Amino acid sequence: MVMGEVPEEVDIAVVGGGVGGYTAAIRAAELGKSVVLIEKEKLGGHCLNYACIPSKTLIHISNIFYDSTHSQKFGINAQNVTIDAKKMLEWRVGASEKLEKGVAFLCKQNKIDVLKGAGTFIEKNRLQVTDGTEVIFKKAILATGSVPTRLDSMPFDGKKVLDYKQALLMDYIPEEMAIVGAGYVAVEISMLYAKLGSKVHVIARSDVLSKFDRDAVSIVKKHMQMLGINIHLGANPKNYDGSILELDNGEKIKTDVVVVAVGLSPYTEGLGLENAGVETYGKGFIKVDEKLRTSNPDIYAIGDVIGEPMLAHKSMRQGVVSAESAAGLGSSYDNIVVPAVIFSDPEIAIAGSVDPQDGITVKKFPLSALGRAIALDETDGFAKVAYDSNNIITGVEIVSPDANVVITEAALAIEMGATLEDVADTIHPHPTYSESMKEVTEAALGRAIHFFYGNSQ
Amino acid sequence: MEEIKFVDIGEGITEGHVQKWLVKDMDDVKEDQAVVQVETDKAVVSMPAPKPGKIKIVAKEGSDVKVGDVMAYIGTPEELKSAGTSKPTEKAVAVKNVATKPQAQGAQIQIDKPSQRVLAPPSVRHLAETLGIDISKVKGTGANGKITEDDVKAYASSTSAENGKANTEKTEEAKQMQPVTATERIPLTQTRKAIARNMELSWQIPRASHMDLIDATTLFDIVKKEKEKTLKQLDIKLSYLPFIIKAAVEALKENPHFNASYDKEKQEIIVKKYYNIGLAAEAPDGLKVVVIRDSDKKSIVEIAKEIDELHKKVLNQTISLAEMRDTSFTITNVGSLGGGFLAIPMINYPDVAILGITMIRDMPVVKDGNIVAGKVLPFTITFDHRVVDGAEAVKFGNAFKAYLEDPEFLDML
Repeated sequence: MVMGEVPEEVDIAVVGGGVGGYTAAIRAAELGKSVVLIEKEKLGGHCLNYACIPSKTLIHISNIFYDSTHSQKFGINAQNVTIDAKKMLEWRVGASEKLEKGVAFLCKQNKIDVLKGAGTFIEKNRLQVTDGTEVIFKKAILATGSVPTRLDSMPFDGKKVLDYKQALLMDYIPEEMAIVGAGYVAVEISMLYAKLGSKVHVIARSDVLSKFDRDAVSIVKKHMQMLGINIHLGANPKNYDGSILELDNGEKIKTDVVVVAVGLSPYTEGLGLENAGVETYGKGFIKVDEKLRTSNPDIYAIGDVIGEPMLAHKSMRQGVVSAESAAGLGSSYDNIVVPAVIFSDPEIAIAGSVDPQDGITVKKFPLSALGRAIALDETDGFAKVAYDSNNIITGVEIVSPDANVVITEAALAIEMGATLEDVADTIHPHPTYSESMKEVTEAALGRAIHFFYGNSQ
Repeated sequence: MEEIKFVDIGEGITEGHVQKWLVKDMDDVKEDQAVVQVETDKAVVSMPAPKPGKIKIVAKEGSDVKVGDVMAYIGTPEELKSAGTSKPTEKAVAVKNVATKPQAQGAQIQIDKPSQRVLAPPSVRHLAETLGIDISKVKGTGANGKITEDDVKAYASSTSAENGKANTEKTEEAKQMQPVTATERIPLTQTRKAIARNMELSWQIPRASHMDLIDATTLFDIVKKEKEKTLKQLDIKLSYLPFIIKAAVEALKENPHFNASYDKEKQEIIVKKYYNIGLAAEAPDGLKVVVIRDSDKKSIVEIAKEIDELHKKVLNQTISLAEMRDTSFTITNVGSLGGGFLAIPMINYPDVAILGITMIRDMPVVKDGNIVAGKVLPFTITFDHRVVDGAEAVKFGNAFKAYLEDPEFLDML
């Protein structure tokens, strides 16, 4: 694009090139629409470059490093295992770059015009992009995502006080790390650095993973403590001078860095929503209907910017739905569940709810009865299934290695309206962690095989 | 005390119209005695008493009932005293109203009341969205009330009535502009609704028609001759129709794609190996199609008898659903009413074809170079052009015509 050129007219303008935005752009292009994708930084957004992919890369590396020196029971006696943090970072950045290039390639093949810059609405159907282009659109899709929430008492400086993005871009392993917050991001980062050898403190305002099932959290908490992570419950940070973090309960923690991971805030800065008649609610989320239309029916919004749960896969699905809807198909965002995975050790994965509720029964099957878990010494965990009076599955929770894979079956079961029998009577490959789905549904039906429930069955 | 509820009789029926109570309030009834006639969009059904006892009628004649609504109570006089106090209709409505639509608002996506969700797989939900249907209104026929693709399609084809409602609202304003007495709005009866729905389905079929004239002199003579005999010996009024059915069945055997339906989804022709010939019949409440099952295996006399019985049932409104479904081919006989020369019928969906017959009449016929007075039977075969072509329709027509003009064939029957 050249400055001063006539405005570009397109069918669909997508603002934000993260996983939701580029998915929407590709789907719209597949439907024969002319599409521009406006991204100010990197294609793939936070997920590919700063969050999901980098954290999973580093967690994998930390597991290899940790396991290499903690596998004596298997007969492995490795001496003097070291880790090169720069090399680790190189790999992690390389993985993101590879994926980002992949997205760029896909955009090119789908003839999507990628504009480098930030977009601002100047009228209801007109966007000004900072690269000088003006875009006139028939429909727009907003996928601007979120940014790490700031703590006024502890502003990010990129060196000593880090957000989660910076915590995943370090070229050294700090001796001590304090993490403010105890949500899933904080838990993942704490276990990752503990395994790499840091002395880690977690400062939880209430409790670790306070919004999650206590049965699951207690297992993860136990493992955090086994890794030497020091959990400070009911505490808030007060002051940090670069070496000592002072808490409001009087505790003083010596730490090289402080990572603030207290959540995500919707990102709509500079979008000029008011010029397009797009309304927000709560802490700045964009309001949408079931077709993901904002208060301006020609403008759609998806992903983190429209609210919880702020998860990449929710955004991707909404990318598809919004593009189809904007292209005139009758699609709605009608999903029953958004599965969620915490990549702790062991992983917690959940689809639907396993909270006790009226008319809902919950059954649990312990991992200690599963062949694969025993063989691999990973018996801390369980599968839980919640179901209604017709045996229709309403929720599943998996605490297990590879829970991220196992939960997908549960999500499918719930979307399909499957019953306990549907899952129990499906052959699950042996020996796998997926068998916990079979075992727990069998147990719920009163016909458990690998666990004796006694009279309670 | 037991309730007599209006139940779904297995055809996806959701509402009915209480046509007539066959017993009086507080009558003594026997077990299985038919107590009430309910008009649904498919048929008039009689509901039996579940046990002997006194009956207390709740649903008034002329009122509409939904599946699950209590129509009456049966029990001892003491038991019945308490019956009137509950409000069964409202209760039934409340039970119906459980389906909730999944919401995709910004808030945390969770199943708050999982047992109340709409039970439909994602592909079916998407189909409903594509068709612009609120899936929470669709009744599921699968296990646990799961909504299937077919349920959504069936609902889609039945929403024409709904659209009618929407139009009513739109024209409300216009209506107010006119004197109230200038027009009258008559809600469709259940039967009329069903007819409307079927006609809309039929209209989707890309159709064409082929017409021809049959020299019916021989047919006329044979029927005239046999008529007296069968009336005397068997007490049956013989008409041309059984012969026409027989000739049509033979023509169908030679042209099996006319004895078929079309599966649009799979793009397959479903050829029927049976000959269930539908006959269009005008009932007091509108058009109905009765079925002569396995017409190929029945004699002329048997068919004549069955037509007579079915016709009586249509007039008495005692025809059952089973006697009105699974046609493989349909014949509509305009001639029985006396008028008309040629007509183009609507195909009886999902059949591939329909045969329209008008009256046999005296017409000039050219025989051996001379014009003589002949008996002529005009007919039309209207067919689904996706499945068969005009050439095949001509072949079918010629075969049909040849059988009806062939004295040997007719004699054999």
